[in-house]
Amino acid sequence: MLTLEEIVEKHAGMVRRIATVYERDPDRIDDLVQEVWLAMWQALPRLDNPATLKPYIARITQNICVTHVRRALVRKTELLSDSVPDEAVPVDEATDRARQLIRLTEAVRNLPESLKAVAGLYLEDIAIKDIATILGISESNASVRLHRAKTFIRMRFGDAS
Amino acid sequence: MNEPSQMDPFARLWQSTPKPDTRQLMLDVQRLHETHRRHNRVLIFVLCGIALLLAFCVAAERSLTLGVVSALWVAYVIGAIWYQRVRCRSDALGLDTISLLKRMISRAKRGLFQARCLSIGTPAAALTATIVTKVSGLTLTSDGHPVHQLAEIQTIASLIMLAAMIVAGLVLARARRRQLLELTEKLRSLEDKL
Repeated sequence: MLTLEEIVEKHAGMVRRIATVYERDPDRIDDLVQEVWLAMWQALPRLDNPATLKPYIARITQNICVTHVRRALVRKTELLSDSVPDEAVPVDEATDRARQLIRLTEAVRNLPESLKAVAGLYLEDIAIKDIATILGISESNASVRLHRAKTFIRMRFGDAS
Repeated sequence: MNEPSQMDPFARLWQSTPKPDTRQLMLDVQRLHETHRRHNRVLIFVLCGIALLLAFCVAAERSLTLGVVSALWVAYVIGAIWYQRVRCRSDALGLDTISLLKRMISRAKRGLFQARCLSIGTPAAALTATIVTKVSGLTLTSDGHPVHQLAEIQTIASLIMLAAMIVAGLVLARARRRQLLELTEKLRSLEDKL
């Protein structure tokens, strides 16, 4: 069984990327990531099958991100504020890849809520079956959403390759 | 259509973000975890302390009227600790997103109801109590004695408390209404039939 440190080391990137889909402000992304790992710390002993760790972390991250509306409302701040640049994607590294990454992040962020969740999880290599289970929708529904999300991203982004 | 995402250039690009600093993250999470545990312990300590104090007052017969209050308070403390344990054990975040949103919506509705009880129910109950007292002639000055200064202070304090409860209820109701709207909107967009 992996320790929490090892799990954090392995999956911290995924958690942060999913949080980046829902939040633009780096401080609030940090808050979300901390909240996810705190929840994971408490939930880890309840995980029956270690093989399902990645989808489990993705599920908890997804749920915390989708429901972080409460805290944002309490703070009376606007969700997905456009004013602060994202530190996760450094703008000063003006490499072609970094710029593409920024465009992709923007494209995913701008997806409608129903497609955003599917796209964010798919980009993290979560299987369609697991995405459907995480969101509580049918597999065919998840597939259709994914197809639409891809079309939307391609329209906004162009061809990644 | 749905090729494995490892083959997808978007997925490869998406996962090419630099690794975050996990050492600092672990320190922050440990600090948060400790803060939560300490907060819970202090809360339980305070609740149990008040319960013990009330029980002692009743046992020592310092106050005869506190019996019911003490019983209610002890029941409340036991209920709060039990609820906290049950809630911690039930893995709400492990639910699927739609079920979690439904659960949050029902909780927000409950919160809205409680807020309305505070903002509308409290003044209504106070008004009813005042009318009943007037009608039944149970006023403080009914025996002809002037109102005691302590009673005046108590009345003012009660009015301030009442106003505070109404304001708190209104603020809470506003927040819950907005939360309810946001969550319902999210649920609708996720449940959207395609």
